[in-house]
Amino acid sequence: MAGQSPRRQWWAGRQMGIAAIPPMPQRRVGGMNVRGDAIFRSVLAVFAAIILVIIGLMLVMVVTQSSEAWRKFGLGFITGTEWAPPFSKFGALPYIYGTVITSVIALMLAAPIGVGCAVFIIEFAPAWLRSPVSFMVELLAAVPSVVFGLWGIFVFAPWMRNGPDKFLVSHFSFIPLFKGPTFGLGVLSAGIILAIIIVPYITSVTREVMLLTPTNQREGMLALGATRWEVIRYVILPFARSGIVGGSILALGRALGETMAVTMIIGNRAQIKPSLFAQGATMSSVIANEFAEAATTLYTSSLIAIALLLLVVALIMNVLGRLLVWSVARSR
Amino acid sequence: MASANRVVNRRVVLMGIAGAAGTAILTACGGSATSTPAPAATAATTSAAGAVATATKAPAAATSSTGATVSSPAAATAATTSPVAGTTAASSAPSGSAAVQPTFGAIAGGANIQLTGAGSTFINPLLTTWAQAFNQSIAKNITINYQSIGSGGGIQQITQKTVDFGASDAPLTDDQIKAAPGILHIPMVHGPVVPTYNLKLDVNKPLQFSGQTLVGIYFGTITKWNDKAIAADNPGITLPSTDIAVVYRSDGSGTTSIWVDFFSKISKDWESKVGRGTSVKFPTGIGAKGNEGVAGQVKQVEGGIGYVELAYALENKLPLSLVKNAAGEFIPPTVDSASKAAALTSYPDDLRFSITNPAAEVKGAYPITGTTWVLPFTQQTDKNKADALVSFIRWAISPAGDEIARSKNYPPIPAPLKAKVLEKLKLITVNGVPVYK
Amino acid sequence: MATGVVRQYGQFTPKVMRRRRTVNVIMIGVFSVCAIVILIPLVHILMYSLIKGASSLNVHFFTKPPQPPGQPGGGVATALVGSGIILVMASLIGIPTGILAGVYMAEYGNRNAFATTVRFVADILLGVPSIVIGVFIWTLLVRPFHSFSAIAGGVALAVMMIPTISRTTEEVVRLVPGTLREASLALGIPYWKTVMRITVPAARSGIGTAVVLAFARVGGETAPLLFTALGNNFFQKDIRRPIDALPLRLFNYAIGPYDEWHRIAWASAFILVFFILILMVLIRRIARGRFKNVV
Repeated sequence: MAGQSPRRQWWAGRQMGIAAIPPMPQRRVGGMNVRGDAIFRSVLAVFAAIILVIIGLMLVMVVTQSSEAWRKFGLGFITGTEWAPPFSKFGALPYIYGTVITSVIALMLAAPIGVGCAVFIIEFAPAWLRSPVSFMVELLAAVPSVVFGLWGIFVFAPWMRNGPDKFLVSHFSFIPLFKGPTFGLGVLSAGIILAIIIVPYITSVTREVMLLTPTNQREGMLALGATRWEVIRYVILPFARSGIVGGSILALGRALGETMAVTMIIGNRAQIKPSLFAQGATMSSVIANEFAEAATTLYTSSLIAIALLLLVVALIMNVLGRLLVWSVARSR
Repeated sequence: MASANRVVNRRVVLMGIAGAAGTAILTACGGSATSTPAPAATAATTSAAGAVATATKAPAAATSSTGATVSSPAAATAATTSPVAGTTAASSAPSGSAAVQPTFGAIAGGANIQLTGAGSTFINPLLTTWAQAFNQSIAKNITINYQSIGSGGGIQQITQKTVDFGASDAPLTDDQIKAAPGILHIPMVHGPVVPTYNLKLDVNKPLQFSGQTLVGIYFGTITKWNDKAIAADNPGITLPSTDIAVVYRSDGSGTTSIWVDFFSKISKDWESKVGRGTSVKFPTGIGAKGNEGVAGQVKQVEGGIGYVELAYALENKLPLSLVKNAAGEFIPPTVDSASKAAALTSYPDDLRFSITNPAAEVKGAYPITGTTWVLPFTQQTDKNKADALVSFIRWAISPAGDEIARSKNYPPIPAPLKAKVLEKLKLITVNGVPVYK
Repeated sequence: MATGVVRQYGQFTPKVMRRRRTVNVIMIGVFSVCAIVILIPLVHILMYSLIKGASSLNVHFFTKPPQPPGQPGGGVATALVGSGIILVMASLIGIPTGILAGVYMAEYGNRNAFATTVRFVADILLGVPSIVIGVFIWTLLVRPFHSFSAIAGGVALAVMMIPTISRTTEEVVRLVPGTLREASLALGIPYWKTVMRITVPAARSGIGTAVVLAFARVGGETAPLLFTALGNNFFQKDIRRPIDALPLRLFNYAIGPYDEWHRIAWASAFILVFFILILMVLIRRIARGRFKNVV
């Protein structure tokens, strides 16, 4: 590529329409435009590089500033169950547990329902309903999580306590998962709120992936006399499968990092208890609650170490999810 | 998800813009190279214009709001209290810059000073009221931005010097002092910590608790409201079998520190298994952030019990439980009963002291009473800020400040302690020069 | 995949046909129930915050600074101004960066390892939890300068805006027809000028959508502001100092005990949800179908 003008490179790289473009008339006029293009390209590249700088800097800062905790505790930081700031003991396991359990609850509830809703919008909703429903779903994906939290505190938690929780405790308390007492604030409530938050996300990703299903395959199925359900079952779902999984993983990534609503409803107690009604705490909620008050550098460093864990998990989820969604887009 | 769309049919193309863009091509063709306005730049300029508009609007709004609203306690104080007689005149001066109090030393004229403080939620209702009254009646150019993030947070922020002063209801531990050399403990006010609850009872009087019962509840050994320990403390009251939802402070908290200090004094078990401090590992319960959060949580959850500063319970119409003191009396939390607990005869030099569970000889004292300290550094860098801080503290412990404290249900610190505080303030220096002599 | 159908429904007897139709109806029911199950809480949140919030609004809400706890008559004027300042700063940083980076990826992004990396990283940055961004900005702009600040809050939100804007911008700039560029280049206009005067203006409604979308994403963000902007009870002009923000106020008031606070929290929720609603409608209006599939 060296020796070619930037413009040439561009044309070579473009995949649009015309195969060969004659050289520009001004190309050799004092090299003015060539230089202009080069400058322009560099300026844009600098701005693009900012994105790399952000993520690089983020990793560097979070890694270096959490190094004190890693040096002190090593991997014991992840497996340690005790989080006792006054004694400078920091083990993140209760928070990891809280994050995992709430996210799993959220995903188990949100994924089937979200996919179902996407199918409904695409296949079954009458035309007049399609647009409002998808607008609604998009709108709710944008509602700030602190609003979900507010609703959670004043509407959802009391309802949970007097409704579903009460029912479960009175009928199923022999299962450790449903052992009381219940106050409406706990792992289960937080998981359900998370599910409500990520459902619009799953729905919109799934809907988009499903829309990519080749029309001729669907129509072929219908022409063969298949019912709508059979088209979904044998054409759309298989086609969109990896996209749906990818979308769910992206949503899981979101659930893992979701902070405000969870903090407001989980009960903020670092513990590992089998009961779903027990209070818990997540990695993001402990940061939100304790970061501003961390009294020693080791404390701050430990919280940043949690942020690092969160970052790494989120990165893995995102890479995985995006690769899967891409694979659907490519397969077309 | 956007990437999935790249494959979207390229035909979704802007037919309508073709015409407009055609014109643009011609313009671009004729125009000189330098005159090309980047759309991005235009967008930026527009936002910048927005920024200017916002920025100019802000001070106007600030002026009008501070000028127009004078809350009643502040006005009353300014008018009635003698040691701040100059106050009224000063506050009516139009500029507000001439708020120089002979009694309080010079406050830097003109320049707007904003002090940032953070910490104790215990003192938040009072400190923000003080700050407002101070701003309105003493020094219009001084605003005190206080963030109630919890005492642990206050200690952390002042240690890192991200704020001008911290506030905590727990004195710093020796280790913490080592991390913050030159920090002062300035006691500002006392206050009772009240066990409060959310329970529908058919009697119209608050429950009473012995210390041991409270310890049992917080240990998780007492789990139902009709437990016999609670019933024994409250003869004649029918208690429901509701589950007890223990609420504690999830953040580092001076209120917690006062609460567990009391527990540690009355229960060896608690002292050895849980201990003292601003954030201890409670054996059971729901964590909530700040006095605000505990009060909020108790209010939300039926069967809840929590501990908050008196003002929070009063203002939220939460029940004020009586607590048994060492003398064996059940004492309601009031300004008076807390003052009795706070009446010490001597104080340590560094003014770090505990007043929970006073000896049995002290009658009528409420046993879970604490102190809030403001935490500034002795060596200040900004003369204006140091002046403002010292003036504010002196004003807050003056009769005018006491009046406000009482009106917000905080017992002021006793006179002997005030003298000690004034001594301490003399240690605050800017470049080695004391701010207040 | 059709083999499954054949195996299952190989014989088209009336019985099989009936069963297939029944299954179809049941599944339609199941999917409809899914949609309803989703919509109930979502509609409830929306309606509840709008109705309860609207009834909590009053003049003081917009004009008064917060009062000390327990005193009535407070408002969120400081938070509204503060949020405005933070968002303006975030836009000043985030919008130009996002757009230019997006244009770069669209115009030079094919078979270019650097652009591919940037694109990938931008996608990943979209998925970084907002609380982590808050921690990151704290280490970068709060700890070294010993002060929480409006700037830190603005930068934190800008970091969240940049990937949203750049990825959407890239998508819409790519949709501009190649013929437009070619027409411009054929007239001898330099490439950079073609981009700035032809391509970008042609995609401006899409870029506008990108910006609005980014706004909607960060407008109600709380987590990154917790320990960057921190909060303030007063108006703050100095952007190097802590500043109030509406989502922060909402959070603190929601977990607090005072009825007055709860009222203000609901009113704030109304403002946030209404703001988002307006932005989403705006997006629909701007895009009017052209970029519908992109955003």
